[in-house]
Amino acid sequence: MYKTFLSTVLTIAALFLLFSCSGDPESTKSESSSSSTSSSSSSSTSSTSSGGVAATQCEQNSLYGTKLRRMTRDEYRWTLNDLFNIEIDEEIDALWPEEAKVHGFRNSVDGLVVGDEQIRAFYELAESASAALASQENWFEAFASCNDFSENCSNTFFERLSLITLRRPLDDTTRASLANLFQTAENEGLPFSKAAELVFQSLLQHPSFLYRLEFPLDGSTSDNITEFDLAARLAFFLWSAAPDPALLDLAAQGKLRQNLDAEIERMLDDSRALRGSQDFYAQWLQLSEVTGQLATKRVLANAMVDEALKFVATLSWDEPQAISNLFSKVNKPLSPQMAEHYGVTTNASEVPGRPGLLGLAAVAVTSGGGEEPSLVQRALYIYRNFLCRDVPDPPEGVESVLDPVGPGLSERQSSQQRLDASACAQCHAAFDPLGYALDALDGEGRIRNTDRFDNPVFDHGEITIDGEVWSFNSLSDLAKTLSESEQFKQCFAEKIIQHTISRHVESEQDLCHAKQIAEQVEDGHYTDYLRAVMKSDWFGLKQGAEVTP
Amino acid sequence: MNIANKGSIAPITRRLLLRRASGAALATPLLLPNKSFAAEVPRRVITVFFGQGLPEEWYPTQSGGNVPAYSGTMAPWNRFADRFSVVPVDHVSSSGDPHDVGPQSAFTGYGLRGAGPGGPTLDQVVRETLHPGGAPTPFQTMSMGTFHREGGFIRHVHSWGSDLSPAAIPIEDPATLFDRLFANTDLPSNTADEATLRAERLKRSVLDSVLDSYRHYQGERSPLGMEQRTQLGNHLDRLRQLEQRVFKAVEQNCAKPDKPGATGADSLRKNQRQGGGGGGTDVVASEWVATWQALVDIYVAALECDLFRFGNVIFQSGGDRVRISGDYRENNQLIERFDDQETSHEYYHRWRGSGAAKARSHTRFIMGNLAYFFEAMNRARDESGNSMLDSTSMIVTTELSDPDAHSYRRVFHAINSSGGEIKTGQIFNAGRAKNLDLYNTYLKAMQVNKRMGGNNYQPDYIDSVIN
Repeated sequence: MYKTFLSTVLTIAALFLLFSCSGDPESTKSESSSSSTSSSSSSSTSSTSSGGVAATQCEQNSLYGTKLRRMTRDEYRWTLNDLFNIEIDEEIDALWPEEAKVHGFRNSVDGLVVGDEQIRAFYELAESASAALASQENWFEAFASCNDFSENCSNTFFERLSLITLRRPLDDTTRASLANLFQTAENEGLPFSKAAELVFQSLLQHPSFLYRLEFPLDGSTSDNITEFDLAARLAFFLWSAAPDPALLDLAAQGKLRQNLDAEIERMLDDSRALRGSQDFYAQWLQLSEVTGQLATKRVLANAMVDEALKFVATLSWDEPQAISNLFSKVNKPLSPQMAEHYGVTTNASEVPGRPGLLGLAAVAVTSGGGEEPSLVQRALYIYRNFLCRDVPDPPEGVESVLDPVGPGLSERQSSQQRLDASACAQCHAAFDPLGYALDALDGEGRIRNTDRFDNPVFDHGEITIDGEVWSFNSLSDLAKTLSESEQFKQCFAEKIIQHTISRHVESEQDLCHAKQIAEQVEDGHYTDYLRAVMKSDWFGLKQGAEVTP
Repeated sequence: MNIANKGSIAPITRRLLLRRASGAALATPLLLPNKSFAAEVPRRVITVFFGQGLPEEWYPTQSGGNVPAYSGTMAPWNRFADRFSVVPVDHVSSSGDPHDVGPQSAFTGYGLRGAGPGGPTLDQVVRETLHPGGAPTPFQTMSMGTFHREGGFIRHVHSWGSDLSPAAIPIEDPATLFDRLFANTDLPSNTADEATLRAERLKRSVLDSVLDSYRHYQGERSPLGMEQRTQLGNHLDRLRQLEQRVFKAVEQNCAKPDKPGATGADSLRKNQRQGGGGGGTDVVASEWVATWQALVDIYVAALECDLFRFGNVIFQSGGDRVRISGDYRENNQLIERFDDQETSHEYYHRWRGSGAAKARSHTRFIMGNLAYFFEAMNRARDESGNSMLDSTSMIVTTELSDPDAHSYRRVFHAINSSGGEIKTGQIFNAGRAKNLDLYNTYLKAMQVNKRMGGNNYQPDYIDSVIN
């Protein structure tokens, strides 16, 4: 279970004690930064837990872009919950604008824009979170051993709360600003506890809380990020939330890098790692679209999403298996609701025609289901998400008013018309046939023989990938080919990296590192991919110049 | 509820009286234009979307130069026949669910790009072009309406910026809309008690401390790179605008509506959550109408107060499924007695056959409610005393032209005078022109130096609509 506020409180006290023992915080910062070696314990090209060795050598530059990345809605929600035991889900859902998908992911730095609605959400949620925190009796005692407005007492409180909230030691500007706020509160006759709430509100809107700021604390010119920033990268990568006091504790001591392996294992053992993995899988598979597509069937939609998340959790954590099994294992046992939906019994030993991810109703829906399953959307879903290929949008202003499918014109026949037209075939031939296989499932993932216009559907096809012809007689056939392909294993590494660095993996350097990880892991477990990423040299390096594809 | 008839004028504050008495001696709030002294009518763009589509067979397609006569399903349009022209044009489309594609193409002129919009909407293109540093109003964009969430975001958000972020999410609840627009805009006032004033001072102090931190990281001593500082600069600008919205007094000489009471909006939302098992939302006609009219009254009052100049109004989103019950009346006259057994979506899929009568009654309901909005706009006055129905630039459209086959061809678009820039009272046959061409024609008529559709798109202007 998630770390409780109580344990956070206890650790904060220990952490601050340790941090303040250094006397001048800057000296600790300096030490932690300057003592960093070039990822001394990170040897990405050596063997991994799955035993693979990467033949590919890549330039050792950071893959992180230079653009500031703000928190996602879920990261914000989980951070408040982890660190302060605050649950304001209803307010967050109501106020936080939906995040745009960019190249399939909702945590892309290009999609995490900050418009007026977002600013208002930050502002109002800070008030809600502060009120929720205030409902916990004497919450501020975790951060202050006194409760008067003296400089000493105030400073202690600011430093302790800032360290946890901002993920770095307090800077002078913020200290002065918080002192002004405290002074105003005192002048207005507020008690210490109320003044503390205002400070918390302010910190929740601070750039260092909302954004992933990374910079040296002492002007260091090291190629490595500081240990505080490394703690944040690790936590947001594995837990999709801010670092816990234990990570910050090691960072404050300058001992995170030298204890990296142990920390990674500790974090993987924590239940927050399951949550982080579900965040990755939900984004990669675009599961949030299911509830949108089936808005009037929320119970069913939720059952579909639960099935998908349970399936990947089983293969990633409960019964860890090689990643290729995502396409070969059949999800079972089924929940009663999904069994009824599929028209089988919950204890059916096999669920025919449902090969792993491609057999899940959630994937059938999110890939282009709904009222009329779109073959093109489904083909693109496989092409983009499982093969990491893409095609450009149709040229701007191109005539793109399509004949609707109907009686006598199935999606497949419509596709054939496109492939017969040379202008369309130039792009569509590269991916359309992938959608044929998913034609075996209707818009809600049930196996079907005809579409809603009574046109027959067929799930066989043939497509050329990298000069190799893939023929398939069924959805299961295509799934098997995918699971055995090097293209998928490389693609999976690309998706993990994309989720890590919050941008599309597209430059030569990006692809090189994805290939390197795929080679190292050798069709290993999901956690092997995670370890490989965290132990890669680039993971702990400073952002370089702006990445250009 | 009708604010103009009820005359619920906001009390004149002491500050406003003082300002009037001393003329320019007192500072006008930074971002609020003073209507009392303004002579020029600013550009306002409001787009209007309705769901379910509208078959060409249901409205006149030839006018022969005369003002067209609307009847039956479209009867409510007759009151405004000389205030709009109708131009059916093709929605630029893409693959994807038709109830995502059509709504998203409306006002953008793009097909879907991934699961999101392909481009910015017309209102935002105008806003960003005319006000690159932000419009001088407390709110940049405001959207409202009623819809039932059959699908995702893409179906009911109709204001997208050039960064493809939503410029405004439509507000469905009248009380929420009132609070957003009016609740904090006249604080502190001489009527506020000390506790309220203290709370506001403390809020301001919190925001000041936040502003300090952004100034630090955006300023010269920032440890961040230029690109990151620019990002935080954008955040800082928006924070300042928020501060102005929250804390600057609105001292407009305009009608401020009363905060609405219960309108049935709660039950609308409750029934949405209960939708399932066949889907759809059960709605009582009178509750829906009351909610819509309350939203309209607040929205138009705020527009008249110049609290915003750009936005979208939506009556049902793409592909909505509703079952209406109860009587629908206009001016105490019974128009329709609803007793739906199926959802509107199913009726529209059979609009040529067994669902025709029901689908028509739903469209009649939609048009009647849109007419309420037009009437409110007609009563509202701009800075020159003219009707805002004429001086505000407005485009009305829907998702499809054939709700069964999901055709995007020749989709209903109505355009108003836009301050005399557009010919009204006509039906224009634009052949196979696209909605993108119509939007670009509108920009051309407005003399807004920006074109939609990307640098390579050559608009096929529909010049015949321009005055």
